[in-house]
Amino acid sequence: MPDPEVTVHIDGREVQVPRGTLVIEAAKLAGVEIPVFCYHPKLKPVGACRMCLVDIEKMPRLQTACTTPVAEGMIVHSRNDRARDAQKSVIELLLANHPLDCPICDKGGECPLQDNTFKYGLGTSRFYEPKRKLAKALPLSDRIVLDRERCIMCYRCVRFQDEVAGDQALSAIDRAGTSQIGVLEGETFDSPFSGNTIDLCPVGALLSRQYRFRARPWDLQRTPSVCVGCAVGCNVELHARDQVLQRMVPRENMEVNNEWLCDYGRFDTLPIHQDRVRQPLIDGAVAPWQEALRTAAKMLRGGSAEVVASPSLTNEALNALRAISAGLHAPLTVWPAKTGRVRGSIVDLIGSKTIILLGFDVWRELPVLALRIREALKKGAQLYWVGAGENGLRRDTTASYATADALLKALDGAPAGPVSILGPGADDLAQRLEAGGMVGEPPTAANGYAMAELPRANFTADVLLLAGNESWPSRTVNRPAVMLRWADPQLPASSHSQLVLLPILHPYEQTGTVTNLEGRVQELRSGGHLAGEARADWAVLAELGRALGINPAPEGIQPALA
Amino acid sequence: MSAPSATTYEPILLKYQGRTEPASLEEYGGYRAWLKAQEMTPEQVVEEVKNSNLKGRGGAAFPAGMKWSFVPKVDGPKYLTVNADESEPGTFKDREIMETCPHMLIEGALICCYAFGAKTAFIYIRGEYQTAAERLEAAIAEARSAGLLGEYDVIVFRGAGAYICGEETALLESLEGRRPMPRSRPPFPAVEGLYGRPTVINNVETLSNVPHIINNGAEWFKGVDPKIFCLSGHVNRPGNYERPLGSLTIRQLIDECGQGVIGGRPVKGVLPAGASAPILTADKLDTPLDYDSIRGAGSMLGSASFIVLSEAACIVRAAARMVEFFRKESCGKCTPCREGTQWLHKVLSRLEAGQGSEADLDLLLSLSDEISGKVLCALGDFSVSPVVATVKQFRDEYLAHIHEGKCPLGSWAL
Repeated sequence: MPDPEVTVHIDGREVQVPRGTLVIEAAKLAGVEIPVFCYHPKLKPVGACRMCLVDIEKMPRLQTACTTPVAEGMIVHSRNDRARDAQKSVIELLLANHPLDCPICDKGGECPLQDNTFKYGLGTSRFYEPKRKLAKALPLSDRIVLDRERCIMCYRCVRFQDEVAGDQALSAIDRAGTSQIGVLEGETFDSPFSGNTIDLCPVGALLSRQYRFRARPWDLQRTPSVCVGCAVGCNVELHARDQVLQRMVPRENMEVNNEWLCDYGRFDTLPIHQDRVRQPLIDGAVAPWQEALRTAAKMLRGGSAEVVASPSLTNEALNALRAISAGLHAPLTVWPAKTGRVRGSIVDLIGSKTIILLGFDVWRELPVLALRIREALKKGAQLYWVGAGENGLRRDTTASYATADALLKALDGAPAGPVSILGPGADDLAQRLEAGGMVGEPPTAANGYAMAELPRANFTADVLLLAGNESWPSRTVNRPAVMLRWADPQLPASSHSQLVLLPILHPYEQTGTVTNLEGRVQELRSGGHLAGEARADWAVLAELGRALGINPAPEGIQPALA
Repeated sequence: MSAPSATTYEPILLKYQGRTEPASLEEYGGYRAWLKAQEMTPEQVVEEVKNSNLKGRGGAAFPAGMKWSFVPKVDGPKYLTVNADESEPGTFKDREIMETCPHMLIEGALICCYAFGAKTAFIYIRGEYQTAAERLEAAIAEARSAGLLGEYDVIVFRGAGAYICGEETALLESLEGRRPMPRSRPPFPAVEGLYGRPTVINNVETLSNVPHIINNGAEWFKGVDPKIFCLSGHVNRPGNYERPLGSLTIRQLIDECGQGVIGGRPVKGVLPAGASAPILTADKLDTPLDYDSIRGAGSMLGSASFIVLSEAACIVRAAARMVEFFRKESCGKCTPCREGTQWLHKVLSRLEAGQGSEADLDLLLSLSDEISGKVLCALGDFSVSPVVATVKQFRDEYLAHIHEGKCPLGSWAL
């Protein structure tokens, strides 16, 4: 039964909310902004920073809006003199020891401490004492540095690692004015989700080493897109400065990634460190596009061909490859085999009561999906592991079994439903159980769902069309090949008897669509520009098709959602 | 040793005061009250304690029986947690109870468990109380082998030495193995306390009164109302003095129990509850020692830890030391206490060194206002008491530091 509604008044606005709603959330519904630092809608409230102190009638003390549940008839003032004084006080106290080095702080311009100071602060300071001095930019890991002078001890990062990631990778250390965020002595901040703490940090304390000093937030062009790190398809925003990609942050999508991103996706999928292919190359020599395409077409017509797709190519590129494969009467294959399909959606997975992992390490393969599984566990689901191997979710696993039979025996054949089963053999096990959640062996590559029906490459034809930025196996060497890549493969000149290299754009620089593990088609958008002649994967393949005299249906090549 | 007091009061809680060995189970007289309580219904026990009007001795003076009656009657585990993290400066009464008569506390804890339906009591004792912890453990073992514990369990848990662990929700966090930082209320511990279960938290001295209430009845207790007063500072004979609440004045406590001020100097001020309550000036010395009278005089009886400052004491230095204590013991969770106490201490240190200005006095009061009432727990509220009370009541002494550029007492200052 849903909680009955109560009526509350916040700054003169009346709002009906379920009993038990926190004042801060009721205020949001009423359209009243109450300033916060430690409160975050995705984390449990702690009432630490005191920024959200409000004056509630009939309560002698000011109350924190983030920890106080509403009651029928409650009258809340967030902008009367008492509340304003408290807000000014908290800002003044937070700034007392804050270094105010905003001009060289990455957070400057997107900093809640700046914004709240501007809106709710005093404007001046009465603090004439020496400020606390600590070493700047303390490395916590290869990815993150900590500036303890800027930290306001809101514990968002500690709470994220505890509540969301569950690995408790960060902790508060010491007490009183020397309290600080940190890791245990001799350890580093090792969590596959550490980057989320940068987004959560309301000041410039936790910063990305990759992005540090690379841009000012107001100079960034922001483009919504999709992460291509794995098959989850986390929704992201690409940030470029002067058309050059600088960083990637998550976009909330409750059906896909909630508000999270893994470190691999965030830091390692960005094309900012690699040498790029910018012009077509024929046997290592720069060539005009038309000549490169003609040479490639001639090679592909010169003997038996195999068309190999990377499972990270767009759907539009895949359509073009299908047409080329049909026109050449050449097999269309996929490599590496990070393909697969699941039934059921991520939402179904979160709604499961039983989740079975058949030797499939979600934590490693599809990191953000592991966080979504933890959401199901928080709602009371049980997690079981079957088989050998590493299970990154071991802390959250109810029990592990060597075989599915042993699990079924332990569960008395009837686990609580809906049941989700992930990993090799999921379909077989699903036939023995009433599943209803997410079932299957998930793809792990960005577009592995769309490529699930393609056979695995065997690389035995006379000439190979290798489409996509993969580290192709050594058996493809010394074989005539047409390659589509965005990163310079750095092959020695003599590696292939004949090699045409066609430059494509990185997925974050082009448009197109990819299909995530649950079959959701999502749109890539160009978030940055690459100087040179590289083009979208589908555009290059369309040109190649034309050079081959094959004319793929135009609607198959245009980005489906562009 | 015999206290040269005019009163003929026989101590109840400190019956074995001054001994080097604790009273054995036999000497204590067995757990008569515990056996008697088990023949009553739990409701009758709660009612008896309610009627006795026993107030919590930890500082807040909340009626103990009322606290027990707030525990919801639900199935599943409930816990008693004994607050033995006695950390208020100048407070050492619980230590003497636990060291000389651990059985009295254990018996009180068992009766309390019975009254609200707990089976397990945790005694959270500060880590420095080595002897007390060992004696409690030995006494629990003694009671267990005498068959007195039955289905009940009493567990001694040693803290690691943090003032904040005396705050009941921080204590629960520490007991659960986490960093001791106070929880937001609601939920209150009576409903959702240790491990999320209904929990009663009582002070050592509070529970030590309970066996006597059960043995002698609520009416008897109301006529006696024993209380231990910790006396320290500039007195000739510091120590614990047990007397009925309201039976003597501050002056009598200092002169009769403490044998007067060191060197016969006049009293400058008295802190009635360690560093946490506002200082009382010498004109309040005839205030009777009970909750209402001390409140009427402008302070709090709290844990009844009287620290006496003679005319040789520098008030600015005393305030700076007390604020330094709070600065160091702040858990760091909430902004006003963490940042505010640091700031207060920096300003007070300057004033103490004679480098302050009159504007600093206004700043001190204003900062105190930024902390008080805006913090998460009582520690933060207490932290401004030494500042506000001394600036308001000893403003001249602050001004002397400012105008002379040094402490007017010079090297004589204590």
